[in-house]
Amino acid sequence: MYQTIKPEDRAKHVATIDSMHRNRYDVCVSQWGWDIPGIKPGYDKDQFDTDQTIYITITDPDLGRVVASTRMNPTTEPHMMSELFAHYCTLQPYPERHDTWECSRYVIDRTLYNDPLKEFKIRCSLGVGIAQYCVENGINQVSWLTHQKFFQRIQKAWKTEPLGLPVQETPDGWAWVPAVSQVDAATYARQRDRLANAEQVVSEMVQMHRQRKNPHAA
Amino acid sequence: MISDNSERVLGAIRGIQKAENPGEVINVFSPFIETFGFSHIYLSQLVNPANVPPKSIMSVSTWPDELMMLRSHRYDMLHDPIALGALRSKRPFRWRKAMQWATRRGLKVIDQAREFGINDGYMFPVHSLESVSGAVSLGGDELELSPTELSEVELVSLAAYAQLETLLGPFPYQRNIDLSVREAEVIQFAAAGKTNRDIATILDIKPDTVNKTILRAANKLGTLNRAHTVATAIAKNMIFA
Repeated sequence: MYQTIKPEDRAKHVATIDSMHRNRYDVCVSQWGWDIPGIKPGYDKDQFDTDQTIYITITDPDLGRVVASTRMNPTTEPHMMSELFAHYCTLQPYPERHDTWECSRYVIDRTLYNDPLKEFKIRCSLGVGIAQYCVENGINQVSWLTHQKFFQRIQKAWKTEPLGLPVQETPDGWAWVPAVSQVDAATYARQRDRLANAEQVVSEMVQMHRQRKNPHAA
Repeated sequence: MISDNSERVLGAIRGIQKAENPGEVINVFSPFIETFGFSHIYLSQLVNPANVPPKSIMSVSTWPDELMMLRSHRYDMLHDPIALGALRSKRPFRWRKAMQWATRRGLKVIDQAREFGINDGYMFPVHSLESVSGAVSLGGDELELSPTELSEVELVSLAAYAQLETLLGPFPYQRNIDLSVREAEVIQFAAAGKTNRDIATILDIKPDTVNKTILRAANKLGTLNRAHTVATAIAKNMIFA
């Protein structure tokens, strides 16, 4: 189950937040190879971890540490899109509104889980956490810089528009798409349904994945 | 800086997202791509044709009927170098790049399209988190897209694919009964030559449980014995060979 940590509650969750920054480093730097300027070795905390940032975290009770997390920042303050990726937004200006927050560092340590169901539940829980926070706090839109695979995923699950064209700047050959998604009560309900029906959803995804594998073998 | 074409791209995406049936999607998508010189759309899920009958996958096309008739064989995808290219590509590519993967039969597939005036095209792979899930192939006569135009068409193609999958799905093969994680795990070890006792030790379960798990998997797959179950699971890509 996810935990939403608001700025006023941080003092109660010091250990969780600390574990989250370590997990983010493990995944973003050690696994994905990101070069994040200005962070300490082993600890991903950058200028967008601000006094206003909301964290959504998932702790594995068996491991006793955070295994997935994401953060949200108000777009009325400096955020990643305004400070680092404004030039990606070639289709429409990035939103800077009270009802639009930016979601970033959507991080899951996939190396910990061989079970696609468990991994899906974790990934989906983060989405539920985002939607719940938005619905309960009058946030109608979420902006994010999405990996092209993730863009197609959220395009199906949330009503989403690109803010710019796909940008391919990393050596791995994948593109990133800046996007904005609508969030409302229906989005939240849909996301909760996906989590509640995780077994069925994952069964369908695994089946599709297997059907696609290696057509040359036929 | 906002691009000159942004309103047109966003207008097409919004129109596609509002579409209530596949025809409406195509009615927005077609005029958009025509301005880039494309005349034909072939949009399809990419799945193993050995496992899934063509009628059970999403496939939307404005290809000429006669050309579709020529390509109606179940295994044609296996010889289509452009479809194979989509499985290997992260980003959109021009059809001609896929010629490197063409077999003799694959070249025939290309020639068939040329006979209908579809001489050039671009392929837009559609990725899911785990793999390529499908592709949008757009053809025309003589095409030359700038990188910006290619990205514009890509975004609208992705929106069309997502909307069509939502409108037309879920598909029969997506509802197939699947092996559970434990069943697949046990069969995987059986495929590696392990005995029930070995598997029980590895997975820390009772040998009797291993046996029951294999029987349950065999029942699902309609197989007759252990070897048949392993062979079927491999053939259906349910476990690694």
